[in-house]
Amino acid sequence: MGYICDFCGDQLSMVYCRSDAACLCLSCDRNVHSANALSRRHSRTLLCERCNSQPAFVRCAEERVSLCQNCDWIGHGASTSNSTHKRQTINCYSGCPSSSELSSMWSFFPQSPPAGESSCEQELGLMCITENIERTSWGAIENTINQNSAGVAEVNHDSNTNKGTGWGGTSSIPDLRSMPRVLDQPPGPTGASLPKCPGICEDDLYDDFNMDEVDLNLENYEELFGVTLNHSEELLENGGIDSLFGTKDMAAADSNCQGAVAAEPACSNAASADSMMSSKTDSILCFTARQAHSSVSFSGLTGESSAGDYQDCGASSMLLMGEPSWCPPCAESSFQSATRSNAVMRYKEKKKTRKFDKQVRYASRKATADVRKRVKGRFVKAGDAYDYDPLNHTRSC
Amino acid sequence: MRTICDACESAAAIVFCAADEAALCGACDEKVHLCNKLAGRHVRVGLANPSDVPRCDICENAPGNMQFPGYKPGK
Repeated sequence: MGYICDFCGDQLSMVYCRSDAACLCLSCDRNVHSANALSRRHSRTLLCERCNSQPAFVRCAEERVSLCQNCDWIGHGASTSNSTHKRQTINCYSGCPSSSELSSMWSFFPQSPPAGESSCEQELGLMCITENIERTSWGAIENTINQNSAGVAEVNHDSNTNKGTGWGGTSSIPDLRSMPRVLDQPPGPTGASLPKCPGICEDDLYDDFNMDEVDLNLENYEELFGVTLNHSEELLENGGIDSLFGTKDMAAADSNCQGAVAAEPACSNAASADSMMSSKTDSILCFTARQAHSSVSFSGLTGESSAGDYQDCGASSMLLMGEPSWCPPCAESSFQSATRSNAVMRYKEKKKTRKFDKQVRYASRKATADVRKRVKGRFVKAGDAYDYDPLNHTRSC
Repeated sequence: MRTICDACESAAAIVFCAADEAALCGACDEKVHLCNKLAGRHVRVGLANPSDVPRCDICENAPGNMQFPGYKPGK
């Protein structure tokens, strides 16, 4: 740190290497950082001209001096008159630029004397020959960075104002390898897109469930029951949904149902209406999903119940067949039997999937438990003495 | 599966240089850091073998660095 180069101890230091944490003169900077590929990646920047120990952060156009953050704050932040000075951020560089390239990057950078340059240029030329592929690819990336205003321009605010052509694009991206990654990021996320949102999938499921029955049974519905669709909606609204959800309005609902049903000649209508009310859980599900299309699902439900459910609801429908004759005096009992038959059916279904075997819920916990120290089958703390009689209750807990 | 050396990309990396931001094998580490005195000042840390690192008991994934020898679940 200081005015003299850390490497040769000879010349004045001009640039600061962040990775090496060293102030170097220009020739040593070129020597050191052209030695191998890793050191070439180091990002270097100009030294602050006030303190000569920290990397310069901005260049003040009025005072024509490069300052680090501390000196910038001291010089410009404190006094209000100076705070209006126009300041331009200074970029970093990496690789092995020649003096002319540095001058093109930083317009204020003085050209180094030709004597010192010639040997370094030779070295530079050697480096170029050996690492030609890397440099040209890097140069190509540079050109594309300048063209791609969206990707990198946001990273460095002022680089576009610099006169630098080749080197002006790098400000905070010193790493050679990170540059292709930056370019790849903008086109990347646009390629991915969600194929289907879950809501649509859900609807598909219910569509398959209902639509077949609708097509099959719409005509049958008209034939068998002879009610208009409006009437069936009223039926559903009053008696269907509420009864399925088990509300206490069964008296009114039932009377509505019965009124509608009484208009029908067929007794099977009542049976199917009641069996609809006491239908299985899966038909309840599709019913709730399709409340907007209630008439459609009603026909679906009745078709389903009439076609397939007679064997399963054998017991319940037998009970229901006998009910319409004496239903008006006891309106709640049919509701209670509906919930009871629901519960019975649910119990029977769950009974089929019962397992009384030993079941491990978390494999990782089993692994931990297997490793734990045990005394007489009980977990113990490692290291304690355990020779007590389990029948003796002198130990706590 | 161990990290591969960034310089030669053929040997397994055994050190990581923070200044260079690169994982290096032994030969490349000597080559890079013995060539000049500035590079010789770089702080390097050794990389552990993935199989030698104790893993977390719960997720079996991340390296575990805390031990609870007296732990009794429940009670």
